[in-house]
Amino acid sequence: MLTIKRVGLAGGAAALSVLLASPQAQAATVADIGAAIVVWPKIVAETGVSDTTIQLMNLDRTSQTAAHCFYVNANSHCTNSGDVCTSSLDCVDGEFRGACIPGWVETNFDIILTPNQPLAWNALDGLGGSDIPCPGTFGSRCSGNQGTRVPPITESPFIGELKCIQVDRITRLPAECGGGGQAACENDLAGSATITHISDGQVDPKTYNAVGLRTAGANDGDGALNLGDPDGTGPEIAEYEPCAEVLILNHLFDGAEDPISESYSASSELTLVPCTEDFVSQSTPPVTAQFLVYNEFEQRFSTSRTVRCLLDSKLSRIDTSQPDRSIFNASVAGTVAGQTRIRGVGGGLLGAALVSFCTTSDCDSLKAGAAYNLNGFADRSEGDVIRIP
Amino acid sequence: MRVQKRKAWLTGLAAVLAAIALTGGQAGADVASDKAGSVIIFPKVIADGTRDTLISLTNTWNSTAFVHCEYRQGLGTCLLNGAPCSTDTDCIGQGFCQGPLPRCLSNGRRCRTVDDCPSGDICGGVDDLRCRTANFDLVLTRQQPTIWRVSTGRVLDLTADPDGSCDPDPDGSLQQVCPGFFFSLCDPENPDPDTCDPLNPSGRVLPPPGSPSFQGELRCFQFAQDMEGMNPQDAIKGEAIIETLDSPQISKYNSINIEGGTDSGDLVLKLNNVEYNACPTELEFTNHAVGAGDPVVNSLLPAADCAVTGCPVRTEITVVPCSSDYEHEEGVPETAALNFEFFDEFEALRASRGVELQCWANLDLDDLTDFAPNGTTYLKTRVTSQGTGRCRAGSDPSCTGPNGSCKGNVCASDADCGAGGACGPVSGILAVVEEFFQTDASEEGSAPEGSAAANVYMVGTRQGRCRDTLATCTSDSTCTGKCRDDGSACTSDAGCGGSICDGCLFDEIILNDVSTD
Repeated sequence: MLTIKRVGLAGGAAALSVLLASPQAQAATVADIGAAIVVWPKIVAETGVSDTTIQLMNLDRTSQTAAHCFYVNANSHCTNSGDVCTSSLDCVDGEFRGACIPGWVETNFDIILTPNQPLAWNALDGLGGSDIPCPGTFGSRCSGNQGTRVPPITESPFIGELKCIQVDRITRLPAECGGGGQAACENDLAGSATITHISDGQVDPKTYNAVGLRTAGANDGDGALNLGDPDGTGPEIAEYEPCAEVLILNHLFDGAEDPISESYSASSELTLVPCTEDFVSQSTPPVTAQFLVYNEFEQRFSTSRTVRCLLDSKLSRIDTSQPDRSIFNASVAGTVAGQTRIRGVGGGLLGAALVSFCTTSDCDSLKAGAAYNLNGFADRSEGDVIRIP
Repeated sequence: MRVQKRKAWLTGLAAVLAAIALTGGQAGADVASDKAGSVIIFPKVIADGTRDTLISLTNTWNSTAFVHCEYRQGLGTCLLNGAPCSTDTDCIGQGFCQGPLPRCLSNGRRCRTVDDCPSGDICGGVDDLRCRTANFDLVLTRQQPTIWRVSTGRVLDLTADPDGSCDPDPDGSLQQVCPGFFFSLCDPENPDPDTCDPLNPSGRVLPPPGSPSFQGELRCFQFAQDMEGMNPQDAIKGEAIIETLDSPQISKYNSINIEGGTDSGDLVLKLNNVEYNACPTELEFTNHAVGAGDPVVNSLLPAADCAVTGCPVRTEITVVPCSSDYEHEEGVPETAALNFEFFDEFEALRASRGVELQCWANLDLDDLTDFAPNGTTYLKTRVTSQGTGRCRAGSDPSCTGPNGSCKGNVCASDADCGAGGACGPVSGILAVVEEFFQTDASEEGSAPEGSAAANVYMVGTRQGRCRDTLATCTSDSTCTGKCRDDGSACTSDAGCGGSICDGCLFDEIILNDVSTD
């Protein structure tokens, strides 16, 4: 960061040339206005330790809105024991060593939101029965949530993604809209997630907004949701806005000293999910995430990592298994703050980030943190597709 | 009236910029927290001795970004006990929250002299630190990130820590950015070397009791290299981390960013979807009902840890007006009438509450949701800026602003704003929310509250309103233009001799000319 001395009009010509440049292209993904597709990239839960509160809002003041949602269980499992794992080190069972294999299991459900109704549930418990506010049953105070049932997550511990799509209540597919004589396409969904972790009796909540994709044009109402131009035949077939070309993550480098306390060290986590997902064939194409990392000296580092269905990693473990040697480590970067630009090759990416302050550099002790949304830059020229049954 | 200190070449530049508008420079319709912008706003910045804030700022552009930033102090003091406040709701039983303008002690109405108040009353209660601003500049090389601690600022030396860097600099070799030193500890009339801050020796502002204490907003603007005006390339973005001292508890939110379009080259930034994106019409978010226990905390903690309090969650919302005036620092603060609507899980509108906003407000929703939860755990809250007109200019002996300024008065037409009156739409608003998760231990003070901040959802795009008539409009062509300073007819700024032509009015940010500082 540099302070500057004022300059006179001598810089006028330079200023003119700068002024003549066009503003940057901005991404169309959103995290603070209503959308037709909302994505929570990180849902985590572990019985007795942590859980995620998911909030979903209907921004339509007068009408119900239906959402068809997909939980993606991205837990990895040991080949020898079947236990949930994060690395092969978790799969050592006496003399037998197993591999830790990434998983991708989808569960879908429906939610009907009444006008102005706030709806929330916990991942471990789901939402059903008497917990539904307006079930429309005899003696209930209101109606409108009929058809809503959110299953609890299927494993503990759990890490995964949640995606909700605004749909027609009957067909459970996007409503045909935007064409001649058809109603305008709507963007009525908004949501957030609060990941709450309990440690030594202390509550550590972290909140981020769901990432949204807004409608872009006419929707044919089928199960192939075109985000941008998926096959290069022209943007006119885009049903939803495309994913961002680049995700921008502002962060503190791992191990950097917290400038306020001067005793805690920073540790960040990044979660990425692919924009393209096929819930019909239960598959996602691998996407290569390219990382460009800038420190405060304007020095640039780079690395890449494959995102198969969900990447959730401490920053300094993205490029190496030895965090002290990572380009995301403060001792390597040499500064406290960094900017990381993430580009998906072979598909778009969505994400969210967490930052924690810990009492030790490896962050395995007392910590508290916060979640936040990434910024998007420019739109992907190649589209993505979400296929739903 | 303000004088636009523009250079002649900028007039021609405006025409060039108009051409750029035709090639893609048009602003869109959204203010966003997930895209870089040319004006970025951190509504909640705290450095008050109990919490501190880390500001991170990044240039996302491949060229150097010149950034001008303005802090605005949001805290005032309650009339009777001097406690910090941001709205009158913070001072119930303690008078009102004092601001830069005097008010009648008995009813809190603005006054100019005691004659404006009921018989026997006093016109007073001024806290002229509230809504004051302090500015600084920085330069970010391409793609450069930076971070600083608000209470200390940071020096030029990149190898220096981003904290504590505003220590005494005897030889004056370091260029300092000390935005945290909003208040000087120096009394200019009686400088005390034991209390004076050598880095802010001008000492023009005396701190309130308990200072340095800052709660307010930060806005940063992408300037041109000569620092004479904007360069709206949408290159900057940021985040704020608010940390509870002596605890690792932090909250983090993204800056709210306004994208630029066709900047006119002057220092009045019109948020009209042409020069800059317009503000939203309303803000919405989901929060916990007052007193409702958080289901996750109650399920994860042992029952005994929530036995007394039920582990509720308290919500604060920090609201700032979209409009801001840095030119008339001694003038009337930007005001708006906030309206809160609370909907429960049973589709019912539970309450509607109004609060007057003066430049900055941090509201505890517990103070507004004074109704029983009645079975609801969550509320959907909608916040809007109500009313149609507020004076943007004009003076009259009956007005209560400095020198009879009517700025900020509620108006229905120019005539309500006195001589030279300009009646325009009330300011839009922007906000962030922060939730505090309480337990029995935190209530006792033996453990910190958990905290989490979030950006709120922004709904709709504000329409403009014609000056004087306040009829809704989308462009200047649908209104009768009048020059801001003398009310004469105009069709463009060029016809107003250095003032601006008011047609279809939106929110506006008036920058101070900092190029000669």
